[in-house]
Amino acid sequence: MKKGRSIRFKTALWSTAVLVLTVGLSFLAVRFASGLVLLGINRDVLLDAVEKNVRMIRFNESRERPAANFYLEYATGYLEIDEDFLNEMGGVTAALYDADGTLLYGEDPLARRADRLPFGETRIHEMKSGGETFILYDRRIELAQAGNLWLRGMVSETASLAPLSAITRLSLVLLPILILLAVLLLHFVTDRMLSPLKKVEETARDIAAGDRLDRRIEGVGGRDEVGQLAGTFNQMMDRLEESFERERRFTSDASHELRTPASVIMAQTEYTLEKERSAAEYREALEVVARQGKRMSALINDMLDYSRMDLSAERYPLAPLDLSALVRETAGALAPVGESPREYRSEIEDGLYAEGNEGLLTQLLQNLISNAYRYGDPAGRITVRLKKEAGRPVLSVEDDGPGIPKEEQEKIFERFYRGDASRSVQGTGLGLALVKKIAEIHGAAVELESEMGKGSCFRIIFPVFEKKSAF
Amino acid sequence: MRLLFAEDEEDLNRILTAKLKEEGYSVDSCLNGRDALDCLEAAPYDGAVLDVMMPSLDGFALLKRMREKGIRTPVLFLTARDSTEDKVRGLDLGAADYMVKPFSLAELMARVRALTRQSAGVSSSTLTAADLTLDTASHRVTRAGKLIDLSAKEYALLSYMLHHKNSVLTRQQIEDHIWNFDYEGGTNVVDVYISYLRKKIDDGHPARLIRTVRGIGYRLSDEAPEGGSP
Repeated sequence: MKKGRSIRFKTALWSTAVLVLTVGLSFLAVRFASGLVLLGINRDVLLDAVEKNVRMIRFNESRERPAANFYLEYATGYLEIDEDFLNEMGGVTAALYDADGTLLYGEDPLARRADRLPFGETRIHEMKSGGETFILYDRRIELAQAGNLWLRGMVSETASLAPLSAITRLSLVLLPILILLAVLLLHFVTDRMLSPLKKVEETARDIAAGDRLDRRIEGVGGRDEVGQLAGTFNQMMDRLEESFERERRFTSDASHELRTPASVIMAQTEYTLEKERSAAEYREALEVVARQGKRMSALINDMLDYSRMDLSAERYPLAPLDLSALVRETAGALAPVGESPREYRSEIEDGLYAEGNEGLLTQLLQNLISNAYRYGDPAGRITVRLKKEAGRPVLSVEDDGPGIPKEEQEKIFERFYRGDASRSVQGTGLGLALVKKIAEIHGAAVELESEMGKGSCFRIIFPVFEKKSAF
Repeated sequence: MRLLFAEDEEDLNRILTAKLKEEGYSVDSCLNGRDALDCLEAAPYDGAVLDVMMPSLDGFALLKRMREKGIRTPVLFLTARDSTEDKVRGLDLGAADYMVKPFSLAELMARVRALTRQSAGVSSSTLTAADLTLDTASHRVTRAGKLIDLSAKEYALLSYMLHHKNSVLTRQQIEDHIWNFDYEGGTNVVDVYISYLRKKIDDGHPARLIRTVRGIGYRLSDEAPEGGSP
């Protein structure tokens, strides 16, 4: 919960910061740009107004007073000023001066404020007065006959920026509200997007707290990151559960299998030690203990082999090997095993190769042969064969024993499974499970053909061997 | 006391059968569930000790079949399965007790005694009749404080009669509970052993505990005999 909140908190904090910064910067940029635009417009209005006024002024050389318009006596004639002369237009005030800077006509306030400014040439310049900034446009009017006049226009820059400050004031109220709304929305959206994470976390916590390996994240679908995370997590839990279950079952099977010989040894020793027994009884007791001890030891070895293979099959590297030589050697070494008079034959085709692990394949063949000795007819025949069928090397071990009932044929490869008939036979119950495991490691298939009363044949079908340069 | 013992591990079967016989039980032992069921159907047993994992018919299935057939013999399971579910399942099926392998022989014997007591409705390991006591745990038998030495069969017979004190037991009943299927003796084996037992317990004591019920069988009783002097 704490973690979930903190990532939400961080997201909210950062997004708010970015939002405020973006909005602030864009506000400043907009304000600056609109300031420039407004000032430009202001300047255009000023120039426009002044130039218009220039056209309203005419000089007449004649001594006759003009009839209609306003006029001024000036130099050698009259200065005619059209009645359209605008003292003020769009915030622009204008005034006319003679060459010395004496006000001839126009706005008083302008005159009062700016009359100390000397005229130089036609120019635009700034002036500050009473906390306000003005732009002035001085326009020289050249009168051929009477020297120069000056027309000065002025507009307040401060006033022209007035709409801007109104906008600024409005923005300062509105933008924070907008930001607040955006942050709330963002928080809501983050919350919704992160809520599946909470499910992931809850499930993980459930699993961590108890032995609940069967828990899965539910209700988090979709192809987004969280959905993928949930999917990957569930897959991981499937694999974990499977391997825990396998280990648990193995431990339980193993302890179960070890319990029987242990209880025999305990019962036998307790019984024998209760009172004085005859030498024959002591001998029998020791034989039982030895037999059961041997059984436990074989069981432990097979279990270790099996669990090693079960848990880390990759520990056994495969390399191209001469299958014919390996089978001949192993089958030959095992031939004299078995006290009963049996016929033991091997038919081995030469030049067959496979990708394999020598140690494992030797064990596979040993297990198959000792299986045949154990369950086959004591006076029967065992045949080991290696030949090529449809391009694949096929290893088979055949006996002419009692055979395996149909319903048991699948089960005999399960570890610790022993058929009714085999109960009395000493075995660990792991031999065929190991055979299956080793075949799996080699990508080989295991087949069993068995008929009641006729015998069984175990076949290991190896994959097609592709000749590498090494061979 | 006659017991049925079923266990598929041959060594364990042999040892436990020997031990139970030493303890004075008459024991029929089987190596699989089907044989055990046949025995249980053929004879009355005071208790059955059954392995759970057995070929042909496992212990749980066997118990189910027994109860279906109305065989009330109390059952003790002997098993390598130690999970709670298995124990619960076994006990729910109607087993009286459950022992996980490996176990101590002494404990198994104590539990078997408890099992047979239960079948006879007795609640202590010491059985008494008047001044006669039999300690089933130590196998000591005393009369008026004096230790009496009994053979295994005599002990088994006395123990069986004490478990069913004051009830009339037929010769057939006694034979079925004391001798197992291996016995193929004469028909008067019960009378012979009763006479051995009488010599050892009743001789020299004024109150006779083992009484003959004419035409039926025998009765071990510490109640005052009906109908005056014997």
